[in-house]
Amino acid sequence: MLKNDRMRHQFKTAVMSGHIVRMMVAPDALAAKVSESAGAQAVFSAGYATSASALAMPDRGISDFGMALERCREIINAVNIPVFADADTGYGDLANVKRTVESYEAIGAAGIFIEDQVWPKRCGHMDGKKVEPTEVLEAKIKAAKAARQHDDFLIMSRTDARAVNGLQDAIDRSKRYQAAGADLIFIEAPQSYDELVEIHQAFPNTPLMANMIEDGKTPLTATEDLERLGFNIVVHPNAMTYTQTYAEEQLVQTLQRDGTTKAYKDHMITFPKFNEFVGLDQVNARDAQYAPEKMKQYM
Amino acid sequence: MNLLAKLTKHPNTIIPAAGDGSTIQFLAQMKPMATYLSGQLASQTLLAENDEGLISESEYAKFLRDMRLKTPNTLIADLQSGFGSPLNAYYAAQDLERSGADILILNDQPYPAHSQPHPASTTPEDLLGKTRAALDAFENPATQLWIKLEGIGNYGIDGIRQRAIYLAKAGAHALIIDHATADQLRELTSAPLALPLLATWTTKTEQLDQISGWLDTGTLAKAAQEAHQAAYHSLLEGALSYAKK
Repeated sequence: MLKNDRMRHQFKTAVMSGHIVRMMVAPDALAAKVSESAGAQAVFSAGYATSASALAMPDRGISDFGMALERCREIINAVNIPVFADADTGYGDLANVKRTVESYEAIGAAGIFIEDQVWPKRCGHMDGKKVEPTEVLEAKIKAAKAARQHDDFLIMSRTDARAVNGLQDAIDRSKRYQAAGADLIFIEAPQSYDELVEIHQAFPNTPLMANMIEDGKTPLTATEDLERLGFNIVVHPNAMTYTQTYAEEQLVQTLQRDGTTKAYKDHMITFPKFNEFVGLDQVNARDAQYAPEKMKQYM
Repeated sequence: MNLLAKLTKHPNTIIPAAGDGSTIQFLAQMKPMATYLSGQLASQTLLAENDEGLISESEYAKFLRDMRLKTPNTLIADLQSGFGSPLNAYYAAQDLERSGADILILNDQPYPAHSQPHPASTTPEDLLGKTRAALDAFENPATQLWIKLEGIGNYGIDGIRQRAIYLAKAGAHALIIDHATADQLRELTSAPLALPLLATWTTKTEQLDQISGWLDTGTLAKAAQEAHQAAYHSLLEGALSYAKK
């Protein structure tokens, strides 16, 4: 089985296993590799982190399809665990959704979510969101299902209606998205533990995702609790971005203050360890493998 | 059945070259046996440059991915001269395969390869290193590597025969001869070669039965360019007659 098929199958099996799949959003390929090496089962490629990493800008619908797809592709190619992707609103109308699905499937993503915000969208935990009429995402989910080549490529619906019209509307919309063919359901930004319970009660047999943002609208809940509540996926979308930003700020302040990075060195990976982490020895070995003297065996 | 087997069954098949979306779209409807996404033509489309050596692997691969979505045809991609050393050839081959190529063509120019009638040739050791690297990079056992030998003017017929033996031993799937005359091809095919043999094709090429297949170098692009010129002249004439009125 080729990597793309293997990753899709692996992710679907994990999501349907009854155990929760915990994922960090990786802002880039290096962060994804860190996640993989620390034992993650899968990683997520998502808009907030891509927007921050590629543009140093907020998740306000400025980063586009091409940027998100390319970042996700880099992540997929860097790791050997499944990568699920945030496809925002599908980047336009039904024709765009078709291209989005075809493209993410071709690069080897395990699946995508598509949401019902009005474009330009914003992070689900920001104020001022607007949602489209339910029919819009309903049609996009149908188009996405029709466009996918493999059943293992999972389509998740995301609704942002909780903040705009309340939880009941978010649940009602998600039921329609499920009926339209969504394999997985994601109700963004519930505002209490009780709302997480209510979401599971509304979808007792459908795989659900929870989104844990530090300082976001949803109370940070332990993975074990979410698993007990019946959630199948938990994603931590901003933690790696915030950690990078914090650490880099501390580093630069140290340099400004001391004129050297020496005082911060204990917080860094070392030169040899980093080279080992990114596989320098393997690359050097591969380089040596094709050296001219080794090719004499074919002559 | 792979493309080489199909070509053997259908002698004198010409594989069309494409380098832009409308040609890919057209060929998707025409369903040729395969389509060659030429590096030189892609460079023309994306960079307005008539030289394959100016387009980087990542730029070409992005274009390949977009085109892959628009055609079910067997897609032959241009690995050029490996985009650097054998190490670069390894990662480039991996990327182009993941971007949707069914077959890759590696040429024997030194890096960077250039689209020119009398290119320089790299050493056999370098070519073998890139060949092995590309083959090792493939994930799908069905993906093939064809080697384009462009240096007949540098190493002659005997050089091609010798390289064919080396390359067959290293695991390459086929040879394409570029910049050869009909007489040179005739001489080359007078005795069996270690690998299936293809040659590049233009509208002036004399086709020989002993060649397994022919790789077009841009006939459709040239025709499109001539049509553009004709349309532009009509446009100018239209403007002139309007001005006269």
